[in-house]
This record gives sequence, structure tokens and C-alpha cells, in this order.
Amino acid sequence: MKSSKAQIDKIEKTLIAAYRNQEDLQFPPDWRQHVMQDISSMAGPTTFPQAKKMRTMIPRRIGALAGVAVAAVVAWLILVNLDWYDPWITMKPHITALESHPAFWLEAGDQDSGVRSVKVTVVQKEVQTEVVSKNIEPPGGIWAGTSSAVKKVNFPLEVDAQALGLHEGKATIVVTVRDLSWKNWFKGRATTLKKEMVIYYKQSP
Amino acid sequence: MNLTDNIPDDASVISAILKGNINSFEILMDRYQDHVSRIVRNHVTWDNAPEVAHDTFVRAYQSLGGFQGTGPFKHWLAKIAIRCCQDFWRGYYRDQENLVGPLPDDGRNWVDHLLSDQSAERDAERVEARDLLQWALGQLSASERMVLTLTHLNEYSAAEAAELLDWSVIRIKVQSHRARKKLRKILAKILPQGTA
Repeated sequence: MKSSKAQIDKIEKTLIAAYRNQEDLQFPPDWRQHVMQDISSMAGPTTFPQAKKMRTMIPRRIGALAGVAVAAVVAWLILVNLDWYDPWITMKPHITALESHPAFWLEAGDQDSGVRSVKVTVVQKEVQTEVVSKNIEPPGGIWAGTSSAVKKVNFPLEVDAQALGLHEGKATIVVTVRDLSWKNWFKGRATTLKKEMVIYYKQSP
Repeated sequence: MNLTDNIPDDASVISAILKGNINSFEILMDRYQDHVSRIVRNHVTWDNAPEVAHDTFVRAYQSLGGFQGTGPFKHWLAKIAIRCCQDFWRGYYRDQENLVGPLPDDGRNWVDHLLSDQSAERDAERVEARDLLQWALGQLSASERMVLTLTHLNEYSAAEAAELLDWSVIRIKVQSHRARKKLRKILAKILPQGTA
């Protein structure tokens, strides 16, 4: 028995031969009259599809190219502006007890897009008290580009517990730094540093 | 002036038609009726060929104003004929009544006879062969059917088929390859049981 491939080859070859062996097509006797009747009832030759094609194809090609260009620009903007690294924070000295009027040295930075804001709060018994809030966005914000962005910021941080109305006992200093990236729906990447402290006040002599 | 006496070229005839001499269109029909009938006969079913040829000439007349004469009128008309055939198949496949049924017994008998007989030439003349081919082609899509008919059955080159269908050469090659593979799968299913 022949293989199925050979059998299919044979059927295919025979079908093609039958296809090519067709007689000429005989048109009905009144065929041409019908065509002429149809075209006589028309308004007359109008536009040729090729002319129409030229009008539609060119914008389609330009549209496709523009689409690709826009997609590339958007992809580039997103990739560049999503940023790769979180901002960093250091706070010195490393102390765990907060006397009435201590001072820290706070440094924060972001190597990609730059620093957008620094916010310091003290949380005590679920009450949040703002110590400092610095907005260091350049003019133009996230659209300003990286050249005018502040890559590093440092400043003394004074936490006057009494002036802030804090009580003696446990408290947490929370430092949050945001950068200028498009991450988190344009809010930027954020880094938070938390330091547990014990607040106590020196007794007056 | 009788245009046929001076054997005007296509451009002159087209110019006369565009000026309002509709009867000059018969000259073009005289010249190209056989050409169009050969194309449509090869691409649509026998019964529908006159209707598709009719549509081809009507569409050519409607579009005549845009014929730019950059190539021969014959080629331009061939493109219209091919597109009319393509439109015919699109409409045909949209019609649910034209869905392909199981292989008729005549077709199955023809396959059995062919595989047991050595004479393929005699079998090629059989109506069943053409019916079987139409049945198999009927299971392809309109585009697959057109591209396979052009490249495989009528032996057009990929470049020629690409120009007629207004596709890229790559698309023609890919579609043609896929369509032929699909056709052979369809043929494999009708082999007598125990051989496939």
C-alpha cells in the first residue's frame, strides 16, 4: 500500500490537472447587452480605486510611522522617568533618647531624578506631629528635567519636643523623602526612615 | 468616425468613453472579454463566472476616470477582475447557506477509484475531480482560496500575485504556503480508512 503522502500527492496532482483542463467559459447570449444596459444607466465613469488608494494609503503610512514614533517617545519617557533607584536618607547622630531640645543632621538624596520633598514627623500614641516639610521641586516639577533637580540636600533638624507639644515617653521620628520620578502615578519613589526615641525632659533644679 | 475601422488604441477608446461615448466601451469588451472570462473562470465557480465577469466590466467602467495609463489596460482590468473574484468569495462565505457540507459520495468514490487505478489522466477529465477540488477549496477562507488559486493552480509568481491582490510578496508566500498545507490536510482526511 502506498504511503498517505504519495496518495495525497496523486490526488492533488490529478485535481490540478482537472482544474487546468477546463473548457472555455460560454457566456449567455445576452450577456453583453446586460453589461451595456447597466453602464448606460450609470452616471458615468467616476474615480478609480487606485486614486482613492493613493489618498488613503499615504496618510495610513504616515499615521503608522507617527504611531511608532509616538510609541517610541512615550516608551523612552516612561523608561527614563520611572527612575531605577529609591531616594536615600541618613540622620545623625544615632541616639535613642530625645532630650528636650536635640538637633540632628539630616541628609537625603536621589541619584536619578533628584529630590522632590522631605517631610519629618513625630508619631506619638498614634498622633502625628509635623516637624518640617520641605518642597524642593525645581520650577516645572516633574517635567523640568534632571539638570535643574536637587540631587542631595542636607540640613540641621531640630526637634523641640516641648514646643511641638510632645509628652515624655516613646515616640517615632519618621522621615519621608520623595523623588521626581514618575513612579506611583507621578507621585515619585519614596523612602521612609523611622527612628524609635524616648522623650524625656530634664527636671529643673 | 467609426472607431473600430481605425483600430484605435485603448487610450483613445478610453478617452472617447470619458467624453461620453458610452458605446465605445463595447470595443474594450470585445478586446478583453476572453481575458476576463479566463480569469474569472479560473477563480470562481462555473455558474457564477458570467456574473463576476459582468461585475468586472461594470466596475471597470465606473473606475475608468482614474485609469492613469501608466501600465497596459489589460493589466489594470485583470486587477479589477481578481478583486471582483475576491469580493465574490467574501460574499459567498458570508452566506451561511454556502457552508461546505460533508464530502459527497461521488467524490469519495472518485478518490477510491483514483487510488486503485493507474490512469490519472482519464480521471482528470471527470466532473467529480472538479467538484472535489471545489469542495476542498470551499473549506479554505476567501483569501486562502484566492492566493492558492493564483499561485498553485494558475502558477502565478509571488510577485505577480502580490500585484494582483495588492499584497506584499512575503504575505503571498506565507499565505500560499499555509493554504496549500491546509488543502493537503483536507485531502488527507478523505483518504480511504486505514491509509491516512
